[in-house]
Amino acid sequence: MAEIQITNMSKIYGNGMTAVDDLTLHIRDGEFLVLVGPSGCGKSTILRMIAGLKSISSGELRIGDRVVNDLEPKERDIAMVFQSYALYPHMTVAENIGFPLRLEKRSPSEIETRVKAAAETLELSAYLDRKPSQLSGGQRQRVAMGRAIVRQPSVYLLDEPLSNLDAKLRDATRAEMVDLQARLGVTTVYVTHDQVEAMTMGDRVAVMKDGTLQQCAAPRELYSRPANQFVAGFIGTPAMNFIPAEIRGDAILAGDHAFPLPAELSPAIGTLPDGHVTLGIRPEHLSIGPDGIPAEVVAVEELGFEAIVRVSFAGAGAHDQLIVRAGGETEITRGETVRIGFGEKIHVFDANGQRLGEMN
Amino acid sequence: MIVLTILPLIFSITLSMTSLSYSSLSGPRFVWFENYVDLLSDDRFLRSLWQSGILIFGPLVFQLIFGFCLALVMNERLPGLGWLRVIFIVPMFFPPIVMGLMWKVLFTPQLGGINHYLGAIGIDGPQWLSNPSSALTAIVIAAVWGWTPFVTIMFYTAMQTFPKDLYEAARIDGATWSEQIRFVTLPLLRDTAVVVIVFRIMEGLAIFPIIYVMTNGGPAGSTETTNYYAFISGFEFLQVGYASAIILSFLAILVAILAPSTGFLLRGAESDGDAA
Amino acid sequence: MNPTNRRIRTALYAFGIFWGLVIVLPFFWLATLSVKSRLDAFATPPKLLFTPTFEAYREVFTDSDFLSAIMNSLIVSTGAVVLSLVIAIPAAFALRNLTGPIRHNALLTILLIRMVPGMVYLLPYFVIYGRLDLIDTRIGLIIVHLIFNVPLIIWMLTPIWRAIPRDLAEAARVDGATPLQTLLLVDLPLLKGGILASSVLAFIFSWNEFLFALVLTRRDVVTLPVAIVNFLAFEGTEWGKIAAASMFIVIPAIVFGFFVRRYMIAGLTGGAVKG
Ligand SMILES: Nc1ncnc2c1ncn2[C@@H]1O[C@H](COP(=O)(O)OP(=O)(O)OP(=O)(O)O)[C@@H](O)[C@H]1O
Ligand SMILES: [Mg+2]
Repeated sequence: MAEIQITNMSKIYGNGMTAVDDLTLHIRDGEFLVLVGPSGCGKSTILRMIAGLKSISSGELRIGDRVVNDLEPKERDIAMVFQSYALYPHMTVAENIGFPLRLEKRSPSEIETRVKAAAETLELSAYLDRKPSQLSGGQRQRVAMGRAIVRQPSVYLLDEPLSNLDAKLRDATRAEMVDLQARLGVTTVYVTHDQVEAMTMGDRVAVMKDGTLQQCAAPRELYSRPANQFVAGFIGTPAMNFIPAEIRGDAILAGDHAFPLPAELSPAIGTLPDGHVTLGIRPEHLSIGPDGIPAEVVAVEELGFEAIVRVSFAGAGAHDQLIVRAGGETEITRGETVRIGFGEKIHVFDANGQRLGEMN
Repeated sequence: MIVLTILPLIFSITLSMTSLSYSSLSGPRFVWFENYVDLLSDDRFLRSLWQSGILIFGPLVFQLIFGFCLALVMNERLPGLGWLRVIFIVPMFFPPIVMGLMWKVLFTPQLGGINHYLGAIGIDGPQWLSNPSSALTAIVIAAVWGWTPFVTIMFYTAMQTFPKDLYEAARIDGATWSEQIRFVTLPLLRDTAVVVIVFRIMEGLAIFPIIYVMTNGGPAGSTETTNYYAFISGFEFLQVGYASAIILSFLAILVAILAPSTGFLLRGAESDGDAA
Repeated sequence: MNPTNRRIRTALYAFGIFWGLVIVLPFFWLATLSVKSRLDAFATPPKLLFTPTFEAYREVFTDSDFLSAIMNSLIVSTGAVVLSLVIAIPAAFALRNLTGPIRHNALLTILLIRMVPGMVYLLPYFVIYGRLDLIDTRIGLIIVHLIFNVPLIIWMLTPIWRAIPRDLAEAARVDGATPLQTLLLVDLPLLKGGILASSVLAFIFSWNEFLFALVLTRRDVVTLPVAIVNFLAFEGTEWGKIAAASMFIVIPAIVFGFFVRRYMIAGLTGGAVKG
């Protein structure tokens, strides 16, 4: 078991592209850390640097108590699961799982016992003699996992291991993997671009954008106290509403609506060059009720247990629309005029997107 | 590989600037471009260039036309003609020397029977290999037989990759079968045709063994190509320096004709990207 | 289908059959010649019905020159294939890992090397071999065959290799494989088919090769294509023997060729055409 200490790590590709910029991150022993971010933000690059498949341009990488910058993958005591699974097509399931042990020159009997044990854990025992091409997507994914767990390494690296599965299987496998990781207690770095996966699986979630770490925190923290507007918008579906606003004296003006400026925000806001801020409100923190600002209903997505209501709201920024999460039993129709209440939890971001604080 | 190919090439350039000859008693001298200057007034060389042109481009025209038609035959999956796909490619694996012997047999009076059967349909066949113009024709026929399969297979392989949608769309737009060929197949084959032509020009003189057994360059030098002349100079007259100049000049001409298309050749090889 | 189209298709149909005959009949003629007696061979009009005789084959297979040519051809072709593989497999491996302009130029160079007419190489090799006493040796002949066979195998293997997902090599590396182990345990098993096919194709080309063998052999290591031409020179009219020997050379080439026909295009054009 080991912790991973990444200090000021960067990756600059041959073409001058900075794929990872000055990353500092401490992954605790036994932790399930999820790296999430939009496509091309450098997640795979980070994982491959940890694995030793890509060289580290600058900075330091420690696994356990060793600096591993210049070690070969096999010396780092890691195992990796690829998005494509990278199963060897010419080997059977048993040979695939046993391949790392074979390279370690373990005895055939030891390999057999350990492969059987791994297959048992992953419910693959019935398929040991098959070739990868004779397996379903979910089974292939488990074989790839098997190849990782059979070595009992101190770190698992997983690059979008579920993205080739269909939605239903993905949900089921998600829980299985979390369970497996908790049982084995092995430090895990898990890359995904799916924020739902990130939130449901990770002990902590590191959000990346354009090669820079935006925030690394527990899912709940990430949701309730996003460090900036990017994280706020990336985490949560439907996404947070952003409304441009302006500070006027001790009030915040958004469209025709004025909010009193909470005292605890005053110091932060006082330092802003002009008074422009952005308000961030999660759809569930808006309500449709008897009081509030009038708005016209543009669209209703009925989900049964709840309804996602899109309303037009002059001054609400992008498309001048807000998204509201309403209870399932509310009868709302398109074209109707409703009143939107801004009651709870409003995040305030400065012009650069940094979070200043919140209003309640 | 560099040692095996590039160095000999460089050495060959050096050779072409010497008077190296195993038939003369004087040792080789370095003569700069003298051999090349001599070539300009060597009628046999100039004639060989002309005959090379005929023996490269003559067969090429037929190979392209026949190759295209045969590729269509294969591609259309005409009923009952499946076995032809296997037959069509047989000459590709034929040793050229056997090809030459086979056609020599066929064109030899009495032995081959070609003239007998031509006579039966009222054509008085020539003394094929002993008459200059019919000897050229005979070699063209052998070359068309031998290398049309290459063109067929290239075209057929390309046709197999054309998306079916295009043909369906063309049909919905009202194109008849021949219009589909004209407006879809032919334009799409253009790239392949360029590659085919480049290869056939560059390797057109691979008919050497055929000439060697069928006519020996004769009669009266009428089927002597440039590489054949280089062969005679180098290995019969043993004037290795001069022979090098002959073949390098020929190579230079080929390269000059084909250089614009080299980038084109690699396009296919480059675009087959990582399948990962 | 309108009448014009139907006519064109009928014409194509006819041409297909015609061409099939054009391919088969000359070959058939040569085959019959190998089992005709001399009298039948020169009969006018040509005899289509005759009593076959295997005299020519008997003569060919008791001719010691021809027997030694068979040995030479087998040894030279096999040697050329093995040596070519030894060079071409690592080269294809390197090419797979190269990117950008370097790879582009390397591929182009290999392509051009193969396209240069054989006569261009033959003259310098003749002079060099004269100095090194390599004329009329098997190893000398094997070496010149590399000029054509190595590019052939590289061309055939590079695209197949590039189609193997890069993830596999990386997975092997994470699993603890050295580059050599990756090559032996992961890549080569997946390339088996391609290696076999390119070996067969290279073998056929070596087996059929005439020009180099003609110039660079004298007596000891004469290969089949040259041996058969010697029949022509020395024994003038023994057409039956020539036909029988021809059959012996051509049939293995066609039979083996049949199995690798799918790879033929890649082998001949180096992936200049996708196919
Ligand atoms: N070998 C390379 N050379 C140059 N640039 C590269 C290379 N590999 C990746 N990049 C670039 O680095 C950036 C980060 O790539 P990376 O693969 O880490 O993204 P990612 O976050 O994993 O994206 P995805 O979710 O699409 O897998 C991308 O902009 C990519 O184009
Ligand atoms: Mg990625």
